[in-house]
Amino acid sequence: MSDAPVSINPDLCRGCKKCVSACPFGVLYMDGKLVMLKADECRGCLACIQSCPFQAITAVSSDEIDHERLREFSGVWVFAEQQRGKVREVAYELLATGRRLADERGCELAAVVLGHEIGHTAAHLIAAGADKVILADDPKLAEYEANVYTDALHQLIAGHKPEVVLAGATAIGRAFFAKVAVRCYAGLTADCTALSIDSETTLLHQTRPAFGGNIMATIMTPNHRPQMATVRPHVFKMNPPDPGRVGETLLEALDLAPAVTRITRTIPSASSINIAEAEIVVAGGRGLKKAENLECLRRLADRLGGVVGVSRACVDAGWISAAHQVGQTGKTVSPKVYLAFGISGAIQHLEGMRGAETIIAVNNDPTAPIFDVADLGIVGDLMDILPALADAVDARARN
Amino acid sequence: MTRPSEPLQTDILCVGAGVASLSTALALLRAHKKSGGDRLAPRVVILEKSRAIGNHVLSGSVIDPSAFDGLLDEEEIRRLPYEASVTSEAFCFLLDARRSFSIPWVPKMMRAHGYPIGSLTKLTRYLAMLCEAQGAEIYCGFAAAEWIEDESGRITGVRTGPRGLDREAKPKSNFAPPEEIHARAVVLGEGACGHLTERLIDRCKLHARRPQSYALGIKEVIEMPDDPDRAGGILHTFGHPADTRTYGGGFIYHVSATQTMLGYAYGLDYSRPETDPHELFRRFKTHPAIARQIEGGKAVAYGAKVIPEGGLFSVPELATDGALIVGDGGGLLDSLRIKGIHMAMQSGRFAGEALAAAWLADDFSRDRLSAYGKALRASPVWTQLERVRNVRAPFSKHTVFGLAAAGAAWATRGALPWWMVRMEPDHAAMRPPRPGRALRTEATVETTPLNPDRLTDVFMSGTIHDEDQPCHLHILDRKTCEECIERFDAPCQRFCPAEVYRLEDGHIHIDFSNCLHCKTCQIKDPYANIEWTPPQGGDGPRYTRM
Amino acid sequence: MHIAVCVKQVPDTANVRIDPETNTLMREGVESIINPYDEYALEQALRLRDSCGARVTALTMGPPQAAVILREAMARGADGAVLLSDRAFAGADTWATSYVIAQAIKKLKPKVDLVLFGKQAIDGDTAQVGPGVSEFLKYPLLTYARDLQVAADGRYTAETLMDDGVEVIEGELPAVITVVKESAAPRFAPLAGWMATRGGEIPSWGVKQLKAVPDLCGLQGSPTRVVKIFAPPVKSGGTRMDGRVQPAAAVEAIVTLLSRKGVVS
Repeated sequence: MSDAPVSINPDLCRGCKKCVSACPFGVLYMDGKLVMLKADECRGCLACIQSCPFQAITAVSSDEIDHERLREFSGVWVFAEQQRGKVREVAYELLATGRRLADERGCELAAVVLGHEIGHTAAHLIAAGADKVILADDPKLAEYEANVYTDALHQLIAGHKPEVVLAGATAIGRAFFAKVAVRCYAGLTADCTALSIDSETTLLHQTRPAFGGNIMATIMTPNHRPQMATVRPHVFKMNPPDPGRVGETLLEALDLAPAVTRITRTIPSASSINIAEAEIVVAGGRGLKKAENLECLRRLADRLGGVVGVSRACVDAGWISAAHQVGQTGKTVSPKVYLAFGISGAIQHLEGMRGAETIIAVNNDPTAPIFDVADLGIVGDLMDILPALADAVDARARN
Repeated sequence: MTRPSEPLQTDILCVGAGVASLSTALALLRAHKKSGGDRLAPRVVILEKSRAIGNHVLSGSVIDPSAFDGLLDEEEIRRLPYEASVTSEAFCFLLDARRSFSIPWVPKMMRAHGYPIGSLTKLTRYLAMLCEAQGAEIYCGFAAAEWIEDESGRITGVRTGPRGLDREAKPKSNFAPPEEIHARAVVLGEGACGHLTERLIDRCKLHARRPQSYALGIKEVIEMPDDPDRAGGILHTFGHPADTRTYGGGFIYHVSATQTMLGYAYGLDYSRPETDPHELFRRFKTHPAIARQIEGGKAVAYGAKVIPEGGLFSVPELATDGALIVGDGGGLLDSLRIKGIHMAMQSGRFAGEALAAAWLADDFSRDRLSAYGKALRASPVWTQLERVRNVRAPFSKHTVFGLAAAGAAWATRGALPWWMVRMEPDHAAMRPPRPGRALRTEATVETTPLNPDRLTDVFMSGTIHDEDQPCHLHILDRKTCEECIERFDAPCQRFCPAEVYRLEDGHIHIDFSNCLHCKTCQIKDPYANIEWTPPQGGDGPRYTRM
Repeated sequence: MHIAVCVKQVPDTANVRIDPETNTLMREGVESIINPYDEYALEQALRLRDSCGARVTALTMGPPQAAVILREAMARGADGAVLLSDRAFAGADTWATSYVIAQAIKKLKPKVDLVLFGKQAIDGDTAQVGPGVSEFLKYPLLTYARDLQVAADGRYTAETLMDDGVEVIEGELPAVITVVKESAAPRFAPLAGWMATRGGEIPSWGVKQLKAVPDLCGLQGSPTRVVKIFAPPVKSGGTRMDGRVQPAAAVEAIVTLLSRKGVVS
């Protein structure tokens, strides 16, 4: 940063350290009896000015300079989350959206990869729409660790000053992005379902649900940069890859502190998966008629990599544990796909699953309320459909 | 976490944070302040089984403002959380599904002009705030499961229900054992058909001359298109869809420009097992005289509760050693106007004053506490009860008798009829269909946002119970249950306004999680074979605008 | 060990709706509750206290009436509580909220070793304040944790729920940890606990007590601005099929949809 937003007058400073403790970013430090500023890291919050009893600190920035500073930020970034060298799908989805935003702003679209031995990802990311891929390749980034990831992304942002930074709202993206946003004094909006550039202000319009999806809100970050947002997987569509695209790859060497937490063991999903977090829920209700038919449901769930959910009737009948119950008195789920077999859809059940992205319902009663919320509703005997469906999915998997 | 704890101590313990208990606490603390002299004010603890204050209260509610006499000062009355006062009232006789007849003038005994209307939940919260300002302590989420008595039979406290038991009644990881709280006097303000109240009446032989008779009241809050002119208008109805042998009536209160309260009460002394009060409620809403009033609206909240209608002859003894009964639990309700809030509050007032005197005398014996009953008998509450003491019973013979009795009572200021008209207990009133005759069932009313089905209504009540707990509704004897299915075709599946009871594969299945704590099942099961007990504290309906 | 548990009072979101005509929140009949996730964080804190001894302080930022959830936390067993309440805090986004909470934690005595949060609050669903506080405090962050164990030397282990499995993590205090619901069920507040918390004052800290910078608090300090709220779009009608005649066609339709959603290849 060329100009620090504040200046310290050494003649007035008495070394009282009030400003040092007031600074939320820890960029003021004592050099002997005088206060010094790490100018590059100052976010211009001006907290120190108010804390100084001797008026030794003054603001350099005027509104003019503020705008100047905002304008220094340019480019749209997508954080391309990878694990064991494989970039997650959501990154490609974000690149498609990022492409649109970058074109509207007339700027560059960059993908940022943190990890170790990740060079091979660049080609895929460029094919998916990135103009540039920034690779931070470091053994310390081999495994996700929130604190190291935060250091890394923060250093990259400080160095390149992107205007917009996007990430998937995954367990990883949601956690360390919030730290990065605080460190940058940036605005962050989680779980966006729509992103667009406001034609008048050129700001990023971020739309997200709140209050359990009962309300939508549109959010902007007018005076802070970058504008950061996370987006849940499968909200946006990815573009087909274009292998002919060319782009630049930038290797960044970072100065990182070692990790403070350590993974000692990993337990793969399946057994531990929790219905509230599941991507695919295969659910059954009273229409299953008997406990044995739950087996069919399980078989389909296994093949789809999903979990079994049930309406209250099945739990009441003692067929399955309450941990699988979806609804008002059970769990609230919001999977990518919810398949409902023999569930009529009383409001008590709907309340627990209406957040699902896609709902497929099979029921023999054409007036069942579940059909009102279903994207695909099939009137029919579930025992005609369920086994055949499991076989069909199986056949697809083998091909 | 499972260590047995020392009993907790307080001076006065109220069970249930409804208007009766709260009025008791308020009157007690104020009376003490006035005349207490040197003695410290008693510690008053109020236990409430719902999650938050006012979650389990239900009423119309148009309030007879005599409720506030001697309890609230002018400023407090002015600040009452009411949206409107009654500006216009009508009384309508619904002849059949289409025709109706407006009574040209409202009988004086029933007039409500200028009365406040609004939400009982809000009134309850307001009273709770006044109580807390006086130092009373209110704890929500605690159901009083049993009382504690000493060797002499004096009531000395209550035990709360356990929490954190699973379906098989085995402790879960967060099991919280029952807690004992001891007090010099226990005030039972549980509402109609109270869990402890009914048992205490049996235990201490406090029975009234006639068993209590109830009606089931079902209510919805309707959100209406904005119309400021509507606010303050009320309508009471009588007749359809009740049959001529059952006491049934409805009300519509336009509480504000955008909110209307609508309800239907149906006497539980009905005889036909096919009766479905919720369906009657829905049918009531489709009557042109009613539908007109709620046109363009949408149902947004729902609740149900039994109303004690037995009147004077069904009021039990209200005091015993160490305990008092106040409000609906004591059957204090004007059964002509179906108004109980003012009686509940006034009973609380007299109970509170009697307790204040007892506290000064350090004597909570039955003799000392009977000052409460005496004061109540000398008050306008009793005059009202006496005047309408025989209005309700004749209705269970025929509407004509009922109307005649009401007329006679009105004309003679309650002198006629002078004898006690008999009534059988509600559960005994049900008659099986004649052999070989099927039950008469009528087509159900079409479901719309204004007239939702029962499960949607249950959803709007906000009721919720942890499903991994022992069922709080007990079928005492399964054999009797099967006999009832055989003879009456399981009337529980119809009389329950929350679809708790379901007949499946020839057995009754209980979805206790739907329960609204209305007590209809305990009252109306033809064999008195269902027992209602409190579920885990904090569970139950969550009325917020009733 | 001193554990700070941050709790939030939230509207019971199941009842929050928006008026489709005026686009304003309809709060009629909406009750305030303690954020359900935070109950699990509190339970983790109390369990640590029970097993290895600790002082547990509950914190919340909100209007004065939010103190009721602090009383509830104390009734369940928290040793102390602090309300962070000031007009200047109004309108805070996650950045400004994190700042105020961090200032409060810095002020607590003895020094806080562990800060626990629920995974997220059910009103905003952002899951950002826990990480944000870790940043202001410069404490390492661990998210989506359960089964937290702390040894005498300040080393801890926990399981974290990640997108594709569970990781067992080791670390060292101090730390900020967010807790998921898949951990020990919250205990009930006993009546004895409620009766004991009565009368005790809960300190309320504002800008002054926290020595916070007003420009960093509330709306003033918040980078983000909500520019519009509106009702979610109504889901348009789906496809209906009769699977009674030709079940095979119905199965085909399901498979096609699943493959479009990327669930099957």
